[in-house]
Amino acid sequence: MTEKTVHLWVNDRELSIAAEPSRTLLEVLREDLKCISVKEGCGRGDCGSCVVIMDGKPVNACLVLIAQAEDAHVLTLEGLSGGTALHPLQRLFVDKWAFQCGFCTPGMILSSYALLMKNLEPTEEDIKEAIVGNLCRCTDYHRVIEAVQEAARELRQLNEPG
Amino acid sequence: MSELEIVRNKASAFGSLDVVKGKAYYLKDLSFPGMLVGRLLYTAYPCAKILRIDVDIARSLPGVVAVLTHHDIPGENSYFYGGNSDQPLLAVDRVYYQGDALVAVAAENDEAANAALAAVIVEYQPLVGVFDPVAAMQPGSPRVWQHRDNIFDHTCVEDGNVENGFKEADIIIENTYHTQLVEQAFLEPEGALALTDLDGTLIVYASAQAPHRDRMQIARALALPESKVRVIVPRIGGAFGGKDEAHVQIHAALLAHATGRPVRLVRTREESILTHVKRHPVQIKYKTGVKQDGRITAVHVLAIGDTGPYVNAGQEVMGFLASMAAGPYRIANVRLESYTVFTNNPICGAMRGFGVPQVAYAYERQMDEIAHRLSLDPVKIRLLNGLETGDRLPTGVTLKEAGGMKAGLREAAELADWENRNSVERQPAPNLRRGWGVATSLFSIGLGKVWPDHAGAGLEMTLDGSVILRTGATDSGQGTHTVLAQIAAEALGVELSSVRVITPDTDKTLDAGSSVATRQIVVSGNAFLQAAKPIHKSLLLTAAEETGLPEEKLSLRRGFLYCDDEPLNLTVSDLAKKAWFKDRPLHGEGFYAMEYPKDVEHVQ
Amino acid sequence: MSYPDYTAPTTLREALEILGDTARIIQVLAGGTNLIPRLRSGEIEPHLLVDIRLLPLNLIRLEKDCLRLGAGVTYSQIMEDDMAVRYFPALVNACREIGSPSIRNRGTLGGNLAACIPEAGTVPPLLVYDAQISMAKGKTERTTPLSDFYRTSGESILEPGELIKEILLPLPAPATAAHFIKSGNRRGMTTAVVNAAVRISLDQKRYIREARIALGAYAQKPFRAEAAESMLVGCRLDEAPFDRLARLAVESNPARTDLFAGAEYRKKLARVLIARALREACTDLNKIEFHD
Repeated sequence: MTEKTVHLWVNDRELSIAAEPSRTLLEVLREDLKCISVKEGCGRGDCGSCVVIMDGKPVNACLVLIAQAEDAHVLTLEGLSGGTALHPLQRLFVDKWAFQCGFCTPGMILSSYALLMKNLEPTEEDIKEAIVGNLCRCTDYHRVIEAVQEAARELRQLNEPG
Repeated sequence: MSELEIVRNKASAFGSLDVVKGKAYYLKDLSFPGMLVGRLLYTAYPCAKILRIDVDIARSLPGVVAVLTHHDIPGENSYFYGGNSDQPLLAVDRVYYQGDALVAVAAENDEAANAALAAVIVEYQPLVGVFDPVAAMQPGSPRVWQHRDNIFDHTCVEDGNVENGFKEADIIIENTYHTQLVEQAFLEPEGALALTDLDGTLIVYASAQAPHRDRMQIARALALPESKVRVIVPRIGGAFGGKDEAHVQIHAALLAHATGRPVRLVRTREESILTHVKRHPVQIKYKTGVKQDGRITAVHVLAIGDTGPYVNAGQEVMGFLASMAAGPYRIANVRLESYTVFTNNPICGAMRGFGVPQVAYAYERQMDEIAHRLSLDPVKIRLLNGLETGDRLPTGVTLKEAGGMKAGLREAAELADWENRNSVERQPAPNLRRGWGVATSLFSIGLGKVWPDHAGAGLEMTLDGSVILRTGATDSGQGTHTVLAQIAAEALGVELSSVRVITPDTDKTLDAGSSVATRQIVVSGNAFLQAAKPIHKSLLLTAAEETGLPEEKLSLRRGFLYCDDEPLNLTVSDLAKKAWFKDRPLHGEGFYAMEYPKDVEHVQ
Repeated sequence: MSYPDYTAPTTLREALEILGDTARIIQVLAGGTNLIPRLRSGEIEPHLLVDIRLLPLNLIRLEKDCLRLGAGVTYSQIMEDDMAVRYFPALVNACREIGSPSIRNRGTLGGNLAACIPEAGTVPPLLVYDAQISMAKGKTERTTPLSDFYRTSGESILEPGELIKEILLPLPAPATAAHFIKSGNRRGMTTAVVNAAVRISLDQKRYIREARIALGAYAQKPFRAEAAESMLVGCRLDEAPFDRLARLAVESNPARTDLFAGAEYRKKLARVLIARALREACTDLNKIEFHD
């Protein structure tokens, strides 16, 4: 099959990747770019383990062909903390025990991050809707909700002047 | 150790920072140079004869490095679980359920592997299968196996005299309950990665609950000494019992062995759901005899469990179900029976609860119906019949401590304002109903008297006072490693942060058995308490010598030496160095076997 | 899993030319939420995927009292569009019930229609809003009412090489209310067991001038319960026999049995949903002031 060169940004790094165009973004991120945080739980968009942020919006990486990511800006969990400090969501997911096995966590954090980008005062319903596509088999989600609420509070305080 | 500061405080889970940074390695995150993709071909029919398997074309395809059939297995062509070897790794001339594997493939990439699977030619002769466990028990039913009956096991736990007990009853309530097949749906599908080390050792990484048992099975299938096989468990994405039995480890090992290259074999979600063990669907006939005042006089339970075609843990689950079928209640006359029945349905085995969720549903529904029929309060009849300290279970076990059930029930009822539930608006909106439910259950931990139930543990203190903890106990998210580290830190008197956990690796960590049956904190925890003793002794003896104070007054807490409650100016690290200079050991191994009552027969 | 070739044409003409090639098996790719799982399972094995993402099909525009939604418009886009929210709330609510935020950011309106699945969430509200589908093939174009878009079997009338271009929604008359309800085995991330959408438009005297009742996931294809609809016309709003109508809608249309529910359950559920949706629409209409 013919490979195509796809130009995109992953975690702010500009890349040109040679890949078969109909491989999924999930495969390319994991196998070619070693972004192992993007997990495969079902391969069909049902579980949310592979959620990444593409051009500012959460998407299932298993449902995006790499060719469709041309010129896109993709953010994975590896890119969330930029430097050494953790994003409040990352820190609070640890502090609030918002996961057990951790497999759903990258997708869960990114879906939560996407919510907080639009809405820093989410209600419990808002949070539930934001993570509705992220399945967790270990927990009952309520600590995820707590972590997101606390992160929202912290980010609101950061935004306040003075 | 009297303060128990470390185990009493909540700790962040070990490895959690890696998880939130995206740096935690699960099986499919591992890769090695030259790695091949492994896949398995599963049967097209749940019940059929295999007339012919032709892999010549598949073998000749570009990018395909190996295609294995049962002919290519150097050792035993079977899983070995609980003493049973009835499940083949690769089918020979028969398939018994939709998840039987026929052929193993290793190829350069996914595409080539898929092409190879598609190119395998299999000639089947479909047979009439057995899919209803109740029908399977009838004489004249088609048989799943030629050489053994569809009824694999019958367990019966009896106590008192059930016939008399029913005669004493004022009413008898009898119902049949059905529970369904349940899929664990751990978010990370099963996978294994096998490769040969420089010295010829076969290394198998596996997302698995029982690495030492896997090692035995791999060695057995490859005709290798167990000491030449090494199983390593990376972070596990959930298991819930579904990764207790070996899944693809042995197949990955076979492929790595045949190709001489690393092979990573991961199931797709569809394959996962098709193949691995599930929770038994059970039909439960529950007959309860009760007096007007709500006291239960007799219970007869007949449970039929559909175990699929292979024994796996079927007998254990159904046996456990029977032994727990009377629930947390004091009943003088019981007959608790279970049947483990073969069918061509999915294999059933270990899944959280191991038989209890099914039967607990049944006995709690019975209690509610009893309460309803006798116009008694559902909480009150549970308190009336509930177990207490000193009571004897139908299996013969005497409860040394059982105050929790009634106290807990009373407190729960208070918190839920049970007394006043009828004065609360039950229909606050046209499409909303409000209700109260109550349920209690009986559960036990450990593998039961029939199975070896022990764990080894290893601890080492370095000269700077940090601790290396070696455990063969797997942690699939429940926090086993964190708790064991807390126990070790407490026992050694160091901060939790100075403990490094070496996770299951059969070359580095001792056998702790499988992480099932809520057993690890008891067996491994106790083993670590033991392992800490020689280190602790070395440090305290040295401390007594250094300070001139009597050993009994000395203790180690959070990295410091204490005399009674006074911290002294000596750290654990100082003591470690001094102990080393005095030729005192700074490591220890522990071993603990679960204690069972000596006078009891049953699996419980 | 197959790895077909891929192309993303930049003009409609280019796209239609490529789609006109009968020698290869070609699939149109929009959001991929339906197509990619089918590729992965091997259910379809196309030679070539034609991606519509660079075509001018991702716009929502108001033109001559008609809202035109490009086939490539995503569910999220619809949910965030002021005009859609204002004039077609039942469609917006239907989009909100599909999948998860990540699915909604990719899945498209055209894709939902072209998937030809009985439970397609956007179809019932589009039906009650009298949607028209504009399609193009080769050098020709045609527009057809959505109610004629699906055959009885559930297949669409799309011909090989034909592309959905736009979905046209005439702006509803002033005194109109529409409502959509999805019922599945769970609240979120669930396949619909029954979808119901209704629209009621009143005349100046508060009599029902026009009514639409559409059911999805109920039968092999989404459809309008026309007998029940005509019963509503001419009724006074507050005297309309919603329950009797719901029963009629269900009795005159057989339901299907599948993995999720049996026919009898679907009938019971549909009766409740239709009546409930009509009552919600009624509540909305009662808030509207009429200038007599």
